[in-house]
Amino acid sequence: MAKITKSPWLLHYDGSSCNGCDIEVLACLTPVYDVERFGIINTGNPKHADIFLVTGGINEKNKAVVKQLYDQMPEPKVVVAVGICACNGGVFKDAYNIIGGVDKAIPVDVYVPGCAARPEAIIDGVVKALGVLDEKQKAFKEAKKKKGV
Amino acid sequence: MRENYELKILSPEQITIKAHSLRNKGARLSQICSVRTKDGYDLLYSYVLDGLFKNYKVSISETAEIESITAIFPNAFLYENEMSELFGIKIKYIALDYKNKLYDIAVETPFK
Amino acid sequence: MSKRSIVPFGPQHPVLPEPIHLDLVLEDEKVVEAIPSIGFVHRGLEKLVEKRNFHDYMYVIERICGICSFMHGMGYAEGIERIMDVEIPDRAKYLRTIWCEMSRLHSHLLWLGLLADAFGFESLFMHCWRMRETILDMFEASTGGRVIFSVNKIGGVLKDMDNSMLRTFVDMFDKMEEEVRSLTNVFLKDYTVANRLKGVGILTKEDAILNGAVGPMMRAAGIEADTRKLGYAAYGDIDFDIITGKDCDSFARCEVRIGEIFQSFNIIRQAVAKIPEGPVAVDVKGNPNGEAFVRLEQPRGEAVFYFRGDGTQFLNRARVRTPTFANIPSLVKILEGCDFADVPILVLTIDPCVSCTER
Repeated sequence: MAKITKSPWLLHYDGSSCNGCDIEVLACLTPVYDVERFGIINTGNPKHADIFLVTGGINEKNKAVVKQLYDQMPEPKVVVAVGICACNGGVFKDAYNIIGGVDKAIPVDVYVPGCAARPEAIIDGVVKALGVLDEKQKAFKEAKKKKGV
Repeated sequence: MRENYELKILSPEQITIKAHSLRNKGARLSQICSVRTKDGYDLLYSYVLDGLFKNYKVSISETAEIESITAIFPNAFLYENEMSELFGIKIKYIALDYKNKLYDIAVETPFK
Repeated sequence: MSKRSIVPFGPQHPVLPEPIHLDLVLEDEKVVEAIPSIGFVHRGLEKLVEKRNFHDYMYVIERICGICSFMHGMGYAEGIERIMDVEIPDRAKYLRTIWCEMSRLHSHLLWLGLLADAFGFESLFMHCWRMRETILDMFEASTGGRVIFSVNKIGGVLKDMDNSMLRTFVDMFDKMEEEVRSLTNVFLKDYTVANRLKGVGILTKEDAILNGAVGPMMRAAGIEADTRKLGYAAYGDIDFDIITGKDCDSFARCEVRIGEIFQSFNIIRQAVAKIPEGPVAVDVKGNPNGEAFVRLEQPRGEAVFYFRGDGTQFLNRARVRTPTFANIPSLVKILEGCDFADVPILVLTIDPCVSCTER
């Protein structure tokens, strides 16, 4: 990735993680790791967000919440699953209230492994997500042209 | 150094009486939990009185109904709702009854 | 009478790193009643004890929460050791004490940061989290993990810290203490902070007992109680005073936690000075048969562990009553009658850890 074409904003939601990945996501935003140097800001409003960071697995109760947040985000959007629980359920896979990874609820573009995912890995995932976002944006523009809007 | 705590046996009728007397002495309800046994459940009521940890074990049958202590210790509502949802223990007069929807679990509860 | 309306708060909210939902009944801008609803993070970890043997369950119980992960593991280890009547080596007890206090330090700094963020003091949030990273670096050096450590085992700990590492840590803490003091002075002396916190969310001594408050919530109401005084691990050999507040408000809770940060520095120094040489773990044979309660003081307050085994390698029951679970009734209590705009701050002053609460 030669240059970043956008300053993407993040939306973070904790599915049913143990908190470990959540505090690592927050640690990414603070001085030592500082993803804000890429122009990335953590926002609480889904309508402002381009990248959706989800930590933790999906259960029946938060499935609707995750879906609703995803639907509220404007196109194009990228979903990053942070931590092994968000990828496939991880250590909680056998627990009765876990359906599985985030991809059981919404389409996921980037998977970040780790328990807990290290901030370096999260940043790597976010940077990868920027690449995906770029591609999606191009496709989005072309689709618009074809429609003649 | 390990803590020396008390663990006494109570009958189901004594739950509310004990709770009353402990509340009058200024105790704090620390936790309630239940354990599945072969022919019913063990309920464990833990209180802290002047720093001392007091536990009471109540053995009940599967069909028994017990009385809530939310009128005495308001914070009991979370523990009692949890027990009735996950273990199927019948508790009457809970002040804030979630009707087995505290955690709102998708799979069938209570667990047998 | 003005009209009542119900406003939902959460599960996704800018000040909440974790999902919790409250139904707030409002009369104009005043909250009359708050009804908590949980279950967004419920995984059912207590039940998982039936699928993992009692050695493996350690890795599950550590993941109840990523902030007090060490203390959950330790509570489990102490419970099983008690059932099996295993006496762990003295050095392991001291190492557990040191890691416990490091957990408390990073948790309280994390909370101070989140609080600053909640009242809109962004730079203070950044400073708190910057200092917290130093402690995470120490954790990484000594255990290999930043948030989930997996260093406890039944019968001791898995890793030792050599004496030169301990001395380096003490030097680092000495330097850090000055920095942290300049930071906490902002919380204690800045009038904007006092404006937001003083007189807000009062929980009286009587209400604290009645609602079963634990930890800094309880101590801020003037109740002198700290489970560490029971002398588990190496706390029996360490000299410390219980820190209490007297104003019962959010500011008092902030003061208590700040006091505990410096207390933790002090405890670590004492523990490093007294730590004996020797092995850090003993072998454990057989399966647990019996039941035991264990109480621990986590950063958020007293946690109660209960385990029962029947002589097989799978436990019958594992129960963790986490401090936030005990503090939710107090939260409901302090929300009654508060301003709607103060709700986020009040939710934060109990130091909520939702993944602990719901397990």
